[in-house]
Amino acid sequence: MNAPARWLSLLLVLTTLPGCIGYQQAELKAVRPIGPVASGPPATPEELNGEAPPLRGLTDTIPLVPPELVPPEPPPDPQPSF
Amino acid sequence: MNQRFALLVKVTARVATLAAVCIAACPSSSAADTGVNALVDRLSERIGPALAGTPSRDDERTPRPPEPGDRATVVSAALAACDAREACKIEADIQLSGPGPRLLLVDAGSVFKAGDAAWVAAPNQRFVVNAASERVMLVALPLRPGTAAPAGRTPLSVVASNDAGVVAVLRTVQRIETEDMQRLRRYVRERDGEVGVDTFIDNEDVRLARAMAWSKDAAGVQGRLPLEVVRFALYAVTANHTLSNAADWYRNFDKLEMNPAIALAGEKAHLIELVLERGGLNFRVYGPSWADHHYNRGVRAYREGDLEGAEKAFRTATTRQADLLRGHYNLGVTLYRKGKYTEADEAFQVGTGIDGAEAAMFYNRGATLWRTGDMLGAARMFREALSRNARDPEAGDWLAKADPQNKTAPRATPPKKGKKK
Repeated sequence: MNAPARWLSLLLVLTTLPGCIGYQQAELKAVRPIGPVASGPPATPEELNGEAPPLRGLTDTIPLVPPELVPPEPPPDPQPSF
Repeated sequence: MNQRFALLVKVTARVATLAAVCIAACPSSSAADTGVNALVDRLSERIGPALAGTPSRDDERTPRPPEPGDRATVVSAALAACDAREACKIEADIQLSGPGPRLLLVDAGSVFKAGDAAWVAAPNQRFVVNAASERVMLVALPLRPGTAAPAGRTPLSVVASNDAGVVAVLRTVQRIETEDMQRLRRYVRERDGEVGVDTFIDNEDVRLARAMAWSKDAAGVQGRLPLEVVRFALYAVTANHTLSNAADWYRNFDKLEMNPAIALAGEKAHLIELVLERGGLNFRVYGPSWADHHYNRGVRAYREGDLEGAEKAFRTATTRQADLLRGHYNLGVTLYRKGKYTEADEAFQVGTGIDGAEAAMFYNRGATLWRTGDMLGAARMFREALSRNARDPEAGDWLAKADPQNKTAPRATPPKKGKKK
């Protein structure tokens, strides 16, 4: 094998090797951003025309923070010994 | 003999001096009642006037000014840097008026701000301040997700948090790291300079202890909750984040694939729920083990127009908690909007059979039965709705339309036959 062929084969190995056995970056799926909250599907034409009783809407989400929440008292201070 | 007497006098005098020093250093009884130590300065009560910012939101208020006296005061603060995982460092300059040392304790309540961006210092950090002027480095977290850290050293102002949820989370972390320590330390041993949990027991305390980071300093063995737990509990309060958002966070910041990210978020979920529960918050909306979590997912999916997702979430919620009234109600509404009137009626029927069902459940079942053509069934449901809320005009109107001949009216009870005297 002459010199240019040797260089060419080395180049081929170096360029293809990482794709086979080297470190592969994990392909990340797009994270869906939290968008503005829509109001849900509309009422049917029968409901709008007064031919059928209009359905009452969804009840709301359960809040993490109850409206009446009173935070706990802070713990007593540590007792430092300087 | 005289020498012995002189020695006795000297020893007695020293003991008396030591006793006097001890009495002077002891906190007063009123301070002890409130848990305030005379040698400790709480950060939220030591914000200097030059550092105090102006509240710009409902969940902020002006910080309480420090009282005159022998105390440390935070006079300026700047955001030094944030790392690739959103953990930030805040440089705070402390001035000491009077003799030291003092212990600066990071408590809940102070919010560091630069424009709209806000950070809170991780609770329970402690710094000994001895010199007249000292700089300390606080570990801080963004208050809300997606907070872009400004480039360079950014001057900060401080407001007090008026958000009960944020204060509850931070104080709970503080309480776990102080009050629970006495209990948790029983399972911690020091081996070859490493401090860690060493027990074969498996209970709630041991699991909590295992999740904490342990170290040893001059004050003894200390345990800290992972910073991520504080972060996700805060995000849950300020941005309604749940376990799936925590998984997304791991995907974004730790470059993890979906499944490892979900697994990692799941590992932390128990601790986050513990902090939320102990803080008095509705922790069941956080993780997928609970019906409330699926219920909230259903509401969000419905509002985005994803009726398939909403139906699935409400079905999961009602399976996990069979008496979840609002779950059955919303499942009925979703199925109705999908045009599945028979299935919607089944959902409302289950709901109407649960104690505490309100007029809307009966009304909606009436509306659904109308769609299926069962006018008398609809009329009966409108009557039930009226019996629960007599001032429901819609139910009254549709009752008149569904049953114009009043066939569903309750029959008058025949008078009882009395015995003839």
